[in-house]
Parts: sequence; C-alpha cells; structure tokens
Amino acid sequence: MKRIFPVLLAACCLFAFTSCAPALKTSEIFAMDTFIIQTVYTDDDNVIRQNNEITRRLEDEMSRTIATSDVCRLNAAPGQDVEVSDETAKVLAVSLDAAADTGGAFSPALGSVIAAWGFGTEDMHVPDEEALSSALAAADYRTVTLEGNTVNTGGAMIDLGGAVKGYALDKAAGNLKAGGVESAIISFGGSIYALGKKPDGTSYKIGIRDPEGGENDYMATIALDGKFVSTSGTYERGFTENGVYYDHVLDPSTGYPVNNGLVAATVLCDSGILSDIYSTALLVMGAEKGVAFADEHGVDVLFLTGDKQIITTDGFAEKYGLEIKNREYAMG
Amino acid sequence: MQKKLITKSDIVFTVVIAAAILLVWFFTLPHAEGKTVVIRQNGEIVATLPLAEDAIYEVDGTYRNVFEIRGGSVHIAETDCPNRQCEKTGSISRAGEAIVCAPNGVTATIAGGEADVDGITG
Amino acid sequence: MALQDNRTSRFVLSAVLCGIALSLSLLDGAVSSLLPLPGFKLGLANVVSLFALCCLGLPWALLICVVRSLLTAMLSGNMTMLFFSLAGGVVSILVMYLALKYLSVIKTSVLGGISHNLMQLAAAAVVTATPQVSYYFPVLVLTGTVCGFFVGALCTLVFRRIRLPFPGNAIKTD
Repeated sequence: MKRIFPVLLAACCLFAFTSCAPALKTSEIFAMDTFIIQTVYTDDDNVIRQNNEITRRLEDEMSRTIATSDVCRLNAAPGQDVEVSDETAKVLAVSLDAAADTGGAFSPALGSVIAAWGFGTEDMHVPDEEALSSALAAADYRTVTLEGNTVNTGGAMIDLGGAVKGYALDKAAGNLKAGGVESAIISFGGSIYALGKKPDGTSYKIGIRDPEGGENDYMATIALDGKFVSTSGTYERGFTENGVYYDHVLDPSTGYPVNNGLVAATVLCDSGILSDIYSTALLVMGAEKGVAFADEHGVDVLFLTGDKQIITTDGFAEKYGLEIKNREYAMG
Repeated sequence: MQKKLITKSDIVFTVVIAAAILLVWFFTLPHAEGKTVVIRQNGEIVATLPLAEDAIYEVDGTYRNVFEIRGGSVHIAETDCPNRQCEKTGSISRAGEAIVCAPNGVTATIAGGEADVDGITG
Repeated sequence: MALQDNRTSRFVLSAVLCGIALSLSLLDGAVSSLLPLPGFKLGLANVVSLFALCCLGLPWALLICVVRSLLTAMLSGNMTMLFFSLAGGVVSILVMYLALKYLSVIKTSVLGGISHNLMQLAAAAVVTATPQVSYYFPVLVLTGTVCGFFVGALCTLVFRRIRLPFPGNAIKTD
C-alpha cells in the first residue's frame, strides 16, 4: 500500500503534465494594408513573432507603395530585366500561371488600370475613356516574362495585391506547423487559415461577411478544418461618384469594376495563395463559369448575389457545415 | 420504524447548497467574466477598458480616434481619418467584434466572453 | 457472511470496487458524450468513492480513484481526460471525507458531486487556457447536485440493505 501510492502518483503526474495544452497567445499587427491577426495555442512566442516578420518582409518585397519593393522596382523599369527575390518570383510565377489558367479573370499586371481608377489612394475617381483604354492596353500579363529570378514586365505594371496576402498565409501556416503548433487561426485581412481544432475539440468557425452589414456582421458560418478561405467582395474599398458605386474588383478584360450580379465570392482550398487569387478570379468570372472552374480545380466556392441568393459548388453546405444566420439569404 | 431513505433535511440542504453556489456565481459573474475592449495602436495594446463603465478614450497617431464606451458598447465618437470607415462600423459589444481604423493603425476588439465565430472572411 | 478484516480482504474488496468504478466510469463516458459539454462527466463513479470512503477509509478510496482514472484513461485512450477525472475524483473524495464527519451520506454526496464537477471545470480552464469555460458553470453545478443526490440516496440504500464489511471503519450512515 505504502509503496504503491508514490508510484501511482508519479505516473499520474507524468500523464497529467504531458497532456497539458499550450497557452493561448494572440497578436494583431498592421501590415499589407490590413490587420494581421493571429490566435495561436503555443508555448513558443517565437512562432507568432516569426509570422509577423514574414508578413512584414513580404510586404517590403511586394508592396506597390514601398519604393524599394521588388514590385516598385519592376514598375519603375518597364521593359528592362530586373532581379527580384525568390519569394517575389514565386508569387509572380503562381500569379501568371493562375492568370493563364483563369483565362485572364485574374491578372497580376493590372497595375496601370488600378492606378487609373486611383484604388488604394485617397483620390479614387472614374477615369476617362481614353486614359482607361491606354491603361488597359498596357495591362497584359502575357507581356511579363519570368526566368529564374529575372523579370521583364514588357511594359505592364505589376500589382500582386490579390495574391501576396494568401502567399503570406501559406508561409505563416508552414511556420506554425514547423513550430509544432497544433491549433491556431490566423487571419490576414479576411483571408483565413485554421490549423487543427480548438482545444475544446470543436472546429474553428468562420463567419462569411454580410455584404449589407458592417465589418463585424456575417450572413453565414462555416467550419474551417486545416483549409484556407478567402473572400473577395464588391462592398470593400470602393467609392461612389455621381450616385454610382464603383467597387475595387476590376474585370481585367474591360478595365471596369465587375458588374455581373455577384457581390462576393468565398473560396476554400488547400493553398492560401490560390484561395486569394481564385476568390478574385471567380468573382470576375461570374457564378456559372466560376462554379464550373471550381469543380474542375477541386476547390469550393460560395457566391453571394446582389439579390441575396447563395450559389455554391455541390455539397458545400454539408462539407463545411454551412449555417445561414441571416435568413434573407437563400440557397439559389 | 425504519427511517426514511431521503430525509427532508437532505432535500433542503441540497437545494440550498445548489442555489447558494449558483447565486454566488451569478453575482460574481460580471466581475469575473466582464467584457473588456482592447485598443491597439500599430499592434501594441494601448488600453484595456471595461465595457461596464462609460468612458471616453482618445488615441493620437497619424490621425485622432476618440472611442466612446456607453451602455456596454463601444463606438468611434470622433475621428479625423480620411475614409471614416471606423466611424461607419458603428457600435460593437459582442466578443470578437472589432472596430478598425486602418489609416491610423488602430483597432478596438472586444475580449472576454464567448465569441460566436473565430474569424470573419470578407 | 462477514469478511475478515485483514489486508487481503481489503485488497480484494478494493479490487472489486475498482472494477465497478471502471465500468461506471465508462458508462459515464457514454452517457456524458450525449451532453453538449465536451470532456465533462457526470461522476457516476462517485458512488464507489463514497462507498469506499465509508467502509475502507480515505487512503483506499483515493487509491481506487487513482487506479480507476488511470485505467479509464488508458482504455479510452484519452490522456487529457485523465487530468480531468483525477482532479475531479481526488478533490471530491477529500471534500466527502471531511463532510462525512458532520453530515449525512446524501448531503455528503451532494457536496462530492458538486466539487467533482467544479474541479473538472477548473482543470479544463487550466488545460485549455481559456477562462471562458466558466460558461458551463451553472450546468455543471446542477448536474453535480442532481447526480450527487441520487448517488447519495443509492449509497444510503446499499448501506441499509447489506451488512457493512469492516464495521470498525464504518462511519454513521443514517
């Protein structure tokens, strides 16, 4: 009796300590023109710090507003060969592939058109026809060549804003896994990655923004298990001129904001950069083409239309436990 | 005669104990689980304020944001930032909700309590 | 048949109690999984703790509880549960040990049930590092109370019907 007790207690303590879950740590920084929010269960502060460094580094390399970034150096040297970092080359390569793959619905060479509209600046305005058509003529991703780390834009203006957050999410997700983290959710301006399940055993739950509500309102929720989700919406970063609303999602084929009845596209897949790129591309493509594209590429998409219909790939609701919170929306 | 299995005092004791514990919990609840608003500037926490107390909090940076806590919710009372997006967000009070003033690099997030979702995509 | 009061018969009785406690624990796990509270248990095995406390004494009751917790954790393969059930089990035994000196079995059992559940809650708060679990507090107090009440009634009934082994240890049961 006397001998059994210490042994049993020691065994118990051993088990009890090994099963202790890591502590909850959060971080919120401003980078890439958005908020980088991390909620990580870890005992290692370094993981979160490294992720913040990753986002800052990628911003320094690919921002359109930091003069020393690869993107700015490229745009300052039209038609010349420019050496860029491995990461910029990677993001550009994926973007160019996706541009071809989506038939130009996504383009990393839209810089001149974005500049013509003034998106991302304080002076947003409808460009005159002439300015827009010359900007559009210069915005052909097919003129961009990439060999190793050497890029020649062929005169196009590069803008990687539709891919870099997703890429940063990929990098941060890899860093979390390398750091042995088993549960975390990281949100880079609305592009989200959830690793594992919450400590109480439930899946991370994501709200899909309600286009007609504020920033904290969502019309439905989904469960996110080890996937990346990204949403593009026409309700963000737009402006109104002469009573007409112009949103920031530009159709590369016309140079005008998308106007196909969709207000948002939410894409889920196993890659951050592709979820980021596809959410824009599918919103541009429209519901019918978008669903077909998603099916073909093994990703899932949820569209919201202007008349409050929800259009998804087959089995979306069951796969992600879609719960509609705003009853004005109905499955279309 | 055999005594009853369950005596009246047992029942009274049980009910009183359960009620007493629940009452204590109920009255300590607002303090223990009181929601707070966490205000951050460029990622650094600059203030953590209880939602239960009405207050005004000013953040000076590139621009000026004035937060007002009133009746358990927070809103931007005044701002001179260019797009005034933060002001348009309106009042927040539920856990996880946030007011973001991007031009000023300022956020206000409600902490404490159970959040309905872990993130919002959009 | 009266048991001889020696170490061997005590070991035998505690082994039997361990077995009963183990099956109650597993049954508890099955029932509790129907509750919307992940990881929590009703504490049915407390009936064994209470019985052991009454007729074998504190050390034996603790031993049975520890062995039962280990076995349940191994059988269910859930080591986090071990921490929960150990915390709940040990604390409720200590509470009941003190309470038995002054209170009836049912009252003792109610206190044991409540402390069992609250300790699990505290353990959950430590393990998951989220104080938000206190959201479950009222539910756990209520289930602990109800469960403890019936466990106590059951124990009282058992003590009425059977002759207590080792009456030397026995604590007043009426």
